[in-house]
Amino acid sequence: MHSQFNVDSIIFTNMDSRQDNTNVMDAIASLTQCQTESEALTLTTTIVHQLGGTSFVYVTLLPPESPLSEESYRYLIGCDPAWCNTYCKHMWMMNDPFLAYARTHSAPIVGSKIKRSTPGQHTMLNTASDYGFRSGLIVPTHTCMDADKRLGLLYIGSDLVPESGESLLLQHRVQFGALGIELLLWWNRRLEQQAMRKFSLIEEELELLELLKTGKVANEIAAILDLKTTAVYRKLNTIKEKFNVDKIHDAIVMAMAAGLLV
Amino acid sequence: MKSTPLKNACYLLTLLPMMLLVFGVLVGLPWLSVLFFFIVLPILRRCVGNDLSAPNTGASQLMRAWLSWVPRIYCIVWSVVLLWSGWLLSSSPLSITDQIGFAVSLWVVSSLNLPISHELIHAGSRVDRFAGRLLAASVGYGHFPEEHAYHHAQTGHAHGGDVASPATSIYRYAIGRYVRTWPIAWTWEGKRLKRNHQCWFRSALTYTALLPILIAGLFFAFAGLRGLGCYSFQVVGAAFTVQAITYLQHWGLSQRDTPELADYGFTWEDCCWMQACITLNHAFHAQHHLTPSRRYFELQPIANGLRLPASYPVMFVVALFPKFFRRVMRAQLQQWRELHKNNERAAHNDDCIGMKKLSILAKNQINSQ
Repeated sequence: MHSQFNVDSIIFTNMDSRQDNTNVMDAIASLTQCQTESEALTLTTTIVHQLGGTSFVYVTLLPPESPLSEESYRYLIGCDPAWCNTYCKHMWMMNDPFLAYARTHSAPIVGSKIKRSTPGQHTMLNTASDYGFRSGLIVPTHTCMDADKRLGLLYIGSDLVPESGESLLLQHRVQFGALGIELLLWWNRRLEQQAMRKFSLIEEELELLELLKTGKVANEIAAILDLKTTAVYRKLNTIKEKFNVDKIHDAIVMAMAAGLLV
Repeated sequence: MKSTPLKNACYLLTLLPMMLLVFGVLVGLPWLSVLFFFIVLPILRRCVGNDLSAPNTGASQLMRAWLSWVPRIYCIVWSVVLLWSGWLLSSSPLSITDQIGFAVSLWVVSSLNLPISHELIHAGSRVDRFAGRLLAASVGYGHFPEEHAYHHAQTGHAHGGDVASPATSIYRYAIGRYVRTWPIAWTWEGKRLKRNHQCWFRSALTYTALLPILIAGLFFAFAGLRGLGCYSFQVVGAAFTVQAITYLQHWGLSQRDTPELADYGFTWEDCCWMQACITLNHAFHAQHHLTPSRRYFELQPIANGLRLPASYPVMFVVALFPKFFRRVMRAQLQQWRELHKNNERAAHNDDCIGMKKLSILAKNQINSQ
């Protein structure tokens, strides 16, 4: 009856490590109930702190090959914003070895295992250590193998020296992996809801578009959905109106571009 | 007002408009409820201020039971007041002016049924949901649960007409939406019946549509045309109020036009303490849309949310003058958007990681290759 989500209610106890782990996994699972970015950020910060991290940055994006890549970036920033400004000011993203790793790998890895090949990379990591990333764990996550699907990068930082900090973070790699995946799913769902609202679509219309995409025609759709053929045509006209297109094919293309159709 | 215990006690103020209706007739001031709602309430806001109390998220079982009973008590008192109204119109010789005053006051009261009904139709208990349906049906709006379920599914959608486009006046919106709500409710209910393999006569919509006809018949039988006219006025008035409040709560807010309001439920809120007590926090609408299962006593205004320029009664009157209303609302929305943009920029500099730059540079690289 009293089932609503409340970030404040996620309380961690320190009875034993198994209890701790259960609580953390419960908290990660409860990410699905977060309705706003602010709730997700608060919960993620709590989880990261509980697992020994002091700072984090989460970014999710479509790969650069995707035509919608530029507008696809979404963040959760759990560190000193000054670090982000410094990072941006020096254009370190051009040379960020962690980001390059995340694009092509899916296994979590500690920062020291990634080779720093240029003086710029050394400077970047030295500066990062001043902002709570003295040691770090990189957790890449991918929606699926398709090149145009969203990927996520969770970068956890700790104030401890790499010798102790990295082993502590690596010890919790399973939980951080789960957190990375949940964050990616959370963003995927959130962006899908936004796209549904943007085109004023309801579930039934999405189902109809899915069927059209698989090559079904109005008669077949009518039979599948237990509707009259005229009702299907009426719904198709509504969909065209919502997408502001003349052909239903264009609506399918737009829905696919928005990530609404698989 | 910061005290939560005080507010918990004052939720009983929800009965105040009904009390004022009865008291007004007894002392020869049938306009009392109208005066209270449109004049005294906005003035009281100056003295009482906004609601700063904490929500009852960790309330005891006893307190939750009490708070759950407030809307139920309202239903009981309303049924008595409705009977009393019929009796009054049939037995008491009111002058024409008093009759008009009484009808308008009764409209205020019956319009306030709908926030209470709204609370009940969202409740977990089937009995409460049934009571909420009957409460809405008693003022001729029995399809409220179905149309409201559709409303939740449509929030933030620019297409479909549930969100008023800035160019639409309250009159056009109210008529258009009211006409549309009936087929929407029937379609919604039809799908439910189909899902559950039930016949149409199992639909709650059928008997709730009959309830206002029955009440109108009784008013006509006992109070003649005067009774029928008065009750019909409630039905039309309540229907208009539902549309007007929906208009105020979602005016111009959609994913297409105001995407930054997604985390605020695409709603306009108002924090008046007195109004919050009387309408059971109905104006704390953002949290309600983000988590519809949250009970009224667990709601609070969302931090940095979009606020109406004034409370519901004032904005209701302002909305009757569309040009002025648009100007006021646009200014308020613009102000909020600028503030929100500044806050966002201050919080993380829009693109503080510089990924957009990276993406553009990567693309340029690919193109040059």
